[in-house]
Amino acid sequence: MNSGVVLLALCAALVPVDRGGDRPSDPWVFRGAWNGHERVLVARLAGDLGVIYDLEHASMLTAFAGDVRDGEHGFEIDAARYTDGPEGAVWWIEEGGSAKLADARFKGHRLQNGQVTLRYELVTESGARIQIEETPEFETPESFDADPSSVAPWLVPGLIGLRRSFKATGIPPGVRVALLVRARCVGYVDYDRILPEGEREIEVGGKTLRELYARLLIEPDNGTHEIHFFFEPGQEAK
Amino acid sequence: MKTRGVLSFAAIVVCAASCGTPQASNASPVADAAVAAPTSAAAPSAEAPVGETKPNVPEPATHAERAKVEVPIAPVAPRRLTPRKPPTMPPSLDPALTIEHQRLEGLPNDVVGFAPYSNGRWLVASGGARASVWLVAPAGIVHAEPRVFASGLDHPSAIVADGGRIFVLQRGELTELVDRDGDDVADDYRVVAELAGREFSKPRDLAVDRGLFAATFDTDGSSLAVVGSLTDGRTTIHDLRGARKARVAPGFDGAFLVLSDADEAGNRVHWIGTVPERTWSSQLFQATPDSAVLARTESTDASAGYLIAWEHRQLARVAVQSSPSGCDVTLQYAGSIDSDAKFCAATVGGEFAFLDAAASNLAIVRPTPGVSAVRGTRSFANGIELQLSEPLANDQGWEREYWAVVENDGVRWPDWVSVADDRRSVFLANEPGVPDGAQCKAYMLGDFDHSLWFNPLSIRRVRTQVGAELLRFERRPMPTGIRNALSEAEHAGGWRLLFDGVSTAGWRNYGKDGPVEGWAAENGELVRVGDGGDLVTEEEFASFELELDWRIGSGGNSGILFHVVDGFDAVWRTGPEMQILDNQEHPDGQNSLTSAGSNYALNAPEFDDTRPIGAWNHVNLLVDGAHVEHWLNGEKQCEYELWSDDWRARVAASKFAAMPDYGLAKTGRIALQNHGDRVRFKNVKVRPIAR
Repeated sequence: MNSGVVLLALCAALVPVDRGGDRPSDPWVFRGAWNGHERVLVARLAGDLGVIYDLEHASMLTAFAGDVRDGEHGFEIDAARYTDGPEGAVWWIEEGGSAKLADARFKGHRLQNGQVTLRYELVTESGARIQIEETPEFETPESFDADPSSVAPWLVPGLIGLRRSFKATGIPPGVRVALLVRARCVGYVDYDRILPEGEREIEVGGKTLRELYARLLIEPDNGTHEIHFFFEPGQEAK
Repeated sequence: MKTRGVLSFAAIVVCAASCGTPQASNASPVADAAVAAPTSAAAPSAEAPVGETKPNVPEPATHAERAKVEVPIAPVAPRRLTPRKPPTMPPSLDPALTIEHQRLEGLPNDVVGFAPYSNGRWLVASGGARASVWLVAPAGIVHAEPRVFASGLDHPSAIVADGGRIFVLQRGELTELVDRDGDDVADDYRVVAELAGREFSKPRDLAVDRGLFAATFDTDGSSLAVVGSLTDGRTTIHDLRGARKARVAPGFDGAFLVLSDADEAGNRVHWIGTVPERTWSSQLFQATPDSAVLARTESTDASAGYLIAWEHRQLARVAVQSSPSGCDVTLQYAGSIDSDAKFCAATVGGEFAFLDAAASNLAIVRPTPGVSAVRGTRSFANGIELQLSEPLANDQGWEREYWAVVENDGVRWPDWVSVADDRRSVFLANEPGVPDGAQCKAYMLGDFDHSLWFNPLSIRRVRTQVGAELLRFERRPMPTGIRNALSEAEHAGGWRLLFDGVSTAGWRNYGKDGPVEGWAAENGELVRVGDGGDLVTEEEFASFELELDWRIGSGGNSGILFHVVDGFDAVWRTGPEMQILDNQEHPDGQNSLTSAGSNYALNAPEFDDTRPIGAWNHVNLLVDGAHVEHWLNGEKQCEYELWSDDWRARVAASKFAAMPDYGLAKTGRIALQNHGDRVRFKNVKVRPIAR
């Protein structure tokens, strides 16, 4: 298994995939509670990939395989969780040379072109309101690139891919938004947008995975920022 | 001594000497036959009309000889009470409301609420995890099968439509559902307010109004309410203290009405909003075992009207009106509905829709055009004002006896009444006003067909922290022309007023010249004020239709006579009479032949159609050639053909047999009888019929 970080200077934004009705359940986006979090949003992107967002902090809590079932205290995940995201506040605003945790609010979600887009709002110290949209999507190495091995040796067919796309508006000049990300994965692809704060290799179930702590930087250029994670089928977060 | 039933001559003399003014009532047919001796010498027989001579019938020449004529006496009718008409069963529902039923099919069993959508369709929210909102049309409409409008909701408890926007209350959040592309599917789920926390874990109900929302939540043994802004999500929390299962509807001026479930004291209402000093809570109903649902059907800047429906199939109106001291809350039960009300919603047009527990029977309640209802009340320092949805009839509701006010110490008439110029509100004076927090009832007397819905109003005055003293109502003078006036249609139809409302012009005392005595115009009524004799029209009428209203005092007796001819000692010598009477208290009421509405002594009504003493009674009297009809309060009392064989036989069997001129005239004056009792007339009008 190859592992490593591949930094690509690609700037082209990927065309959103119109998945239409190709989702594992109806509804495939739903609200509820999970693991002590009262307000979560679950999006079952594919049979092998679902994501759960904590709406209190506008953060991704986990990516998992399989389905969720209704339990006594909320949803319960049937199968394994690929990775857990960071708990608590994850949005930072860098302004005037200092970075502070932002007051982030979940503003709702939109269903368009068969995809779900979550909306957040961050408020700066100066009162400016920044609108963030995140569109999570399932992908495969093949849908990511026709020749995935040319991207990275570890990008082999069969991996489960999660693309997180972000679009921001209203970022004032001189302000930068950063999203704290955490992931355990086979590998990840970014576009020179992350600032790693910690990265290491770990052995899980006989497999070597990467564990990443980083900040995804979102510049005030109104462009789309993406990060892709790829998981080993059957890998577990813990 | 003559045959049975005829007094000796001596007895006749004594009676004639002592009886004074001849009285048509309270005398036996025998005695009347004895004293009813006309003064004219050559009286025609009763067999022929005036001016004609019937051959082969001996003509008694003198009063004495006439008195000796053997008059066949009919057996005295057994004394019996004139039965009252079997009471009309009141309608089960206030006639001011109309219900239309629709059927919804294919909905899930776990419905939690519904809201109106476009084109007569409805959004119905189901409950539980991953819940959906369904778009459904009533059965029979194309594409009536429910389809999903929104999905993936977390235990929604209520759905509301406001100004085309759709809001859902789900766990932890108030969400707006937006269909951006017009395909009748929500594609945008916008967070309006975050309502997270243990105290908000069981949402119950939602209301949205003018940029604000109110949501209720069940907590341990009590209810909580939140009022917030739709724009910035800021909220105010209200602890409803002991309330359970609280439902909420919009109010006015930034406030909302919350109705909580019944406890041993009954349902309570709470007024909550963004201004704490204007909040209040009050018991509203007697204890009821079932839950109620409510929706606002109308509102102004200072008032709101609601319909409430219970699971046990009862409907009620509630109105909240701002007052200087706080609010006036009015409740009136509106009748029964034929399905359980589990959920309700208000439509854009102010209609009230409710859905049963099976979510298959939808009923829409609408105001009935032209039928009035009490929309609310306003308290004043010296009484209460009722506000009506439709104007009162022209002369309806002016008399204090038309209304009743019930307080803790009993029922009474208001001190005085004032009707607004537009007749859409009535003030009932009641010194010293409605006591703080007291309950009083005001209802209009009358039968079900001619009055407001008969159920009384319960009125509560609620004081708030910022309340001021109540104002006093200044009495409005009654406009002229409201009574004793003709409509344009009546003018065109040939009607004329016989009483102008302000004088006795057109009338005189029977058998007298000079100013009218014993009668006067008072406050728009023609009133018997003393002795002076019967009142007759200056004009004579042959065929005509007469309308008037009469009201009589307790035990009173009067009458309307027609074809009255001058020159006799009493109007009843010649004129047939439609009886006016207090059937209950006057002895003549014991015999239907002499009861109110009868053709006195000749034709009896089947039922007692008089209104309770003190109320006005309406008369239509038709005389069209020989054909006569008596109508009282819209019910025909009797009809007969003058000069027919039947009529002659009846006259011959009555006391009028000894009055040879009785009923024979083909034209004459109209008379109102002065029997010594209190009687009042108004709206006296006539339409001559040309033949």
